[in-house]
Amino acid sequence: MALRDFQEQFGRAILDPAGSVPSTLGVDAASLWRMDIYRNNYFHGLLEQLHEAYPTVAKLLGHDAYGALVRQYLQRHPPQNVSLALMGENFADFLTSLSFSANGELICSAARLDRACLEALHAPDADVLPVASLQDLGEDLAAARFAWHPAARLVVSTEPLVTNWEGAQQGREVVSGAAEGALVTRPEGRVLVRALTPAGIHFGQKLQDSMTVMEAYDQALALDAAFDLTQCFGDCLSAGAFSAVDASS
Amino acid sequence: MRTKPPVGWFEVHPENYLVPGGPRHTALTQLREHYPVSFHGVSLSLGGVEPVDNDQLAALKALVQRYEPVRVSDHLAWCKAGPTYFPDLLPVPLNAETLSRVVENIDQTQDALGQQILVENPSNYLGFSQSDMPEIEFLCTVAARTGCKLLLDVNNIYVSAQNLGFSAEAYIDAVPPEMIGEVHLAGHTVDTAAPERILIDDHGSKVCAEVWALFARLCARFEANQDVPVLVEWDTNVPTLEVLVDEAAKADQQLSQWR
Repeated sequence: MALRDFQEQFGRAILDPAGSVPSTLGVDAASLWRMDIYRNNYFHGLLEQLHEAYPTVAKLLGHDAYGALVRQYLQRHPPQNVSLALMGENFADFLTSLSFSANGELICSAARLDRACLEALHAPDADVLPVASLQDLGEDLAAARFAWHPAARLVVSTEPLVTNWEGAQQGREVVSGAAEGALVTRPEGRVLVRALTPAGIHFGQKLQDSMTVMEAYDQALALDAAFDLTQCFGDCLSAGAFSAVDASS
Repeated sequence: MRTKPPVGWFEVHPENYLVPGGPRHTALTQLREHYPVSFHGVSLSLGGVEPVDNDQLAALKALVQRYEPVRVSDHLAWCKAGPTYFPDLLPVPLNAETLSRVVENIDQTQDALGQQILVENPSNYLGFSQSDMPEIEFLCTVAARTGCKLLLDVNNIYVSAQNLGFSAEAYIDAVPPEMIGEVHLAGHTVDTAAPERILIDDHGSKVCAEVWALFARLCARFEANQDVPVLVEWDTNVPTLEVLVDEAAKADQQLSQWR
C-alpha cells in the first residue's frame, strides 16, 4: 500500500465515529483495538484544548454535554492549523446553529466572550495609552480619535452577559437582567473583562470606526439618552483599550 | 524563574509560540535571558506523504531567529492528512517509500532553517505488515543520508519494545553513539483499561527502573568526551519543581559516571 493511501486511511480511521479500521492498513487483527489509543489521544487532546479555550461555555453546559458538543464540532471542523492556541475560531458560530433547551443566547454570547478573551491573550504586544497622556488635551478631547490596542475587543449581547459569565466561573446560577456587552483588554499581560451598557458598546464601536469622541458620543446618545460618557470613556481608558490618541483634528 | 533552578537548559514546543504576542512570549523571553532553550517540535510531519509546509517552516525559522535555540528537533511521525491536522505523533510504516519521504522532508527542513535538526524515535502502539525495516536501522539510514542527528528517547524505546515485542537492549546496542545529539527520559503508564498489557507514553511520572537501566547501557557506549544533553520530559501530572530538578540531577549523575 502506498504511503499516501496508508495515511488517508489511518486518518479516516481516527475520525470514524464507528471505530472501523480498514484491513489494508496492515494491522494485526488482535491489535485492532489499539487504534483506540490514537483515537482517544486525538479527541481528548482537542477536548482539553477547547475546554481551555471556552471555559465558561463548558461551565454553563456541564462537562458531559460540553464534551458531546465538542465531538460534534470536531466532526464538522477538524483542526487545520498546527498552532492550537487559537483553535476553535468558529465554535461560537457552530453553537449559534444549534438549538438549546435553555439559555441559548447566553451560551452563544459567552462563547464569543471566551473567544475574545483568548484572542486578547495572544494578540500582538503594544503599549497601552497611559491615562495621564490625556491630561493636557482639555477641550481637544472631544475632537480626538483613538487607536485601539491590538488586544482590545468588544462583545455585543442582549443578555446580562458579564454578570453571568463571571457567575458561571464561580458556580452561580444564571440570572436575568439588563443587557450587558463586554470590553476585553489585556493591560500588563492579564486579560480583563468589563461590562458596558449596549450604548457603551455602540460608543466603543464608533471609536473603533475612527469617529471622534464627540461623534461617537452623539451616536451613543441616540441609542440611549441616559448614556454616561464620563463613566464609559473612563472605563475604556483605564482598562487599556487604547494604544494611541490623535488630537490633531 | 524566581528560584533559578540549577539545570542546564529547558526545552519547549515551538508550536506553543506561534501566536502574535502576549504572556507566552514574555515568559519565554525571560526564560531565554537565563537559560539556553531547545525547540522540540511535534508538527512538522516529517513522516508525512506531503512536503513540509513552507509557511510553517517560515514561522519556525522566525522563532528560531528570535529565540536562538541550541537545538531544533521533531519526530519520526506524521500528523497531517489533506487539510486535517492530527495533534499527535502518528506511526509510519518503516519501508523504502517512507524512508525516501522522510529524507526529503528533513532535507527540506534543514535547508529552510539553514541548520541541522534532530529526529526523535516516537513511542509506538501499532506495528504494520508493510514495515520491513527495524526502527533503529531506519533512523540511522535517515541520519546518514540527511546529516541530521538523532534525539534518542530511551523511554520511547522501552514503551515501543514492550508494546511491539522487540528487544530494547538490542535497539540501544545498535545506535551509533556519534549520531546521538540529545537524549530524552520520561515516565509512562500502564493502560489499565486495555484488553492486554500496553504502555502509554504519558510523561506523567518518574523515570522507571527499567528505563534508567537502559539509559545506563546507553551511557556506557558514549565516548568519554562526548557532550550529550539529556532531558527529563514531564508535562502531565506535573510535580513540584524540586522533584523535576532532582530527576534531572539523577540523569546528570548517571551520565557523569561514564565520563
